[in-house]
Amino acid sequence: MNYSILVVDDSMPMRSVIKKTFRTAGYGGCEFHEAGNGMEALEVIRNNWIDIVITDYNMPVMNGLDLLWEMKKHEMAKELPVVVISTEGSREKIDRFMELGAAGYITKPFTPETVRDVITRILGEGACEDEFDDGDEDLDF
Amino acid sequence: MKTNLMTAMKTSISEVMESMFYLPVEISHADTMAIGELISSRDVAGGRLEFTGPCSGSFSLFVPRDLLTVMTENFMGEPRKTLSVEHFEGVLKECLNMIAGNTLRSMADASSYDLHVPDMVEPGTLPATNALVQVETMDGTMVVTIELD
Repeated sequence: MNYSILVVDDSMPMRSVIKKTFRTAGYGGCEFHEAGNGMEALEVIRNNWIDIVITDYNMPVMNGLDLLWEMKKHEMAKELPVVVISTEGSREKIDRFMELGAAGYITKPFTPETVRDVITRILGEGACEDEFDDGDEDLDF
Repeated sequence: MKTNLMTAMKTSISEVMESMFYLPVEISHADTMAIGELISSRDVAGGRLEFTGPCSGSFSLFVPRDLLTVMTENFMGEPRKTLSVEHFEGVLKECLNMIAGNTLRSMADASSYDLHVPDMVEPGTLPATNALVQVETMDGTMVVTIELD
């Protein structure tokens, strides 16, 4: 199954790195959407099918915490899993996100393995394998 | 307080540069004259990130453009011919963001600090602070500073 993943970060390079990390972790066949802040993310969610949101905390216009808060107020978004990837890593701030219903929290700097472990727990193992690779070498021509 | 921040910042710089930019670093106390020349050079990109909390101030990062190109290639895993000014500036700001965030996160009262959004700054004169470090890599030297209000 190919998932639709929304990456929210005001840093364009960081959005690229997060997507690259997902691909390295076995989610290369998924569809990626991007947003530069929480407000843009809400617009993407309104107009596209999204399976998981990966968001930074500190962003202009609308930060990650306010994005999560807004998502919880809307019927079509409140059940979406949200993973926070942020430099903000104090226990209190992490707890605030988790109390609001975040599915996971990753602090920057991060390793691909950390991202893979968190996402696999939420989406399952290798959720977005290449659709033509069924993993059975005997059937490959 | 400044001593604690400096110690935390040095650890943070090593961790960020090695894990996200794949660049081993050596951190040394600043040669003020050399740093002054570096920061005033036109071939340097600079960024600044303010923070508030038990103490408030700002982090600054100055990176020679050649080193910034290598950092951007390493960070994004893309060849330099595909990279633009937007990529370079984005990487500098993200590097500054991670150094600052990682530094403040290791302070005893980490939850009381808030980071603002980083901005690019024009290279110019040395910030009015003696809290600065030289970060040596195989591809050049960058400077990180902390100014407290």
